[in-house]
Amino acid sequence: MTAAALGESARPARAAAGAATAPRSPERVADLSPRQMAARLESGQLLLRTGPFTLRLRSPLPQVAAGIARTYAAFPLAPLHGFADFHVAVLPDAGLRNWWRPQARFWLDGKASMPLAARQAFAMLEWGLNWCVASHAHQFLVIHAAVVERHGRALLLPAPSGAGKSTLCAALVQRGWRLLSDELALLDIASGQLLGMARPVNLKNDSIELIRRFAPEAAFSASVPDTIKGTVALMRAPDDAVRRMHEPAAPAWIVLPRWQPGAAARLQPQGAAQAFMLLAGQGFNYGVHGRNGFEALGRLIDRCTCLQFSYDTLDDALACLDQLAPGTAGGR
Amino acid sequence: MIAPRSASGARPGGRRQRSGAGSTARTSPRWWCPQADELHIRQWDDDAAVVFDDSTGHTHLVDALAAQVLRSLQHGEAVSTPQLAAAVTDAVHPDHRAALASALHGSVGALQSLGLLRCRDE
Repeated sequence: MTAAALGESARPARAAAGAATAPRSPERVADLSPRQMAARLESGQLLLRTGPFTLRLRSPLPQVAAGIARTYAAFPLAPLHGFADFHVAVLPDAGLRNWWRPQARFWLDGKASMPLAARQAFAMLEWGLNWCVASHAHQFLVIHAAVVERHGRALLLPAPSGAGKSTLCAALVQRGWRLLSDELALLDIASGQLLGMARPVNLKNDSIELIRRFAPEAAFSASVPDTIKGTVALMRAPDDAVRRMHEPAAPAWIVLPRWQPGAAARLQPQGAAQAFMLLAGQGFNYGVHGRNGFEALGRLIDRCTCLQFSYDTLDDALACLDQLAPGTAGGR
Repeated sequence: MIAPRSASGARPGGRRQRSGAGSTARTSPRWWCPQADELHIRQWDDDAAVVFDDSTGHTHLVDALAAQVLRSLQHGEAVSTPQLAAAVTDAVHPDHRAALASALHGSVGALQSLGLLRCRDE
């Protein structure tokens, strides 16, 4: 694989009076041409930074390259020979399954997942990355929650799958809240701050069209039908969230969302002990941390206002949540 | 590990025993917390508390009265039911003290079902 194909200069260009300077090394995914992207991805030399993690990605599948180009365009590239937290790959199955109902698998450090249909390959990459963080990032307390931020204060939306937190999260980040994550709250146990990754927001089924109408300017990956979650698509995070992915946020609100048809958007107090148990139950690695996890979660509750939130329409929901941290004029 | 939410209504223990003289007088149960120095309690309001058990790694949700029962037993000694009631009375709102006996019965039962409270007959 030539350096030119990877997007790096083979040798420094000679400088002459009035001549152009040496081409700049690509800094973001969007700086790579499609050929360069495919070459790096196929050879396992595409390294991205997502918040506190560096990912090394490998896949020969065009749908994975397309999904990354579409939803990770603003993400910074990491040095080719630098350290990576996770070495992952999405690879097609060999043999008959390469031709007949092609399948692919997610690989981490040489170990493979169960196969899925190859057309789900990009979604599989996202699910696999979520699993990597939830299963291995024990430097954090990892909670199944969406996290958004405004004015330096973070709003956690912990909820099981299907409760609507990703839909609500997608709407919030299109209206002035900064995305930290739609799935994984990373609580730094020592500092009590929340860190983000600004990765694409996972949407499924009716939520995809709902958010497309709500935010026509948002970019999406191709929709993939017939997954275990139904039809899924990934919404690209706003570029501002990606630029600020390394900024932590102080937790301020824990909001338990519940979509309720016909309900007026309403915030009500939530008992702190019950909120604690919900967070612990949604904690991927709460048990790993033992007493430290208990104390860290206790300190998180100390700092937050705990609320129940019922809503029907997104406009009403956002107007209600905006009261927690009013935005600037224009919603940004 | 998150333990199941506390159950309610379990009856406190108490077994009939025969004394050496052949009497069948019912013994008075005494309550103690076997993990007294391994429990960590956090409470933010008057309604409920969370308890972490170092010995098992379990986290429990208990009501406020149960939390007070555990706090009063953290010295590690066994106490009778009247002593337990006296120890938690101050933590109970005066309007609710008339129902303390039945509430205490429920909380003690819940703590027993969680393995946080044991009965010792004397």
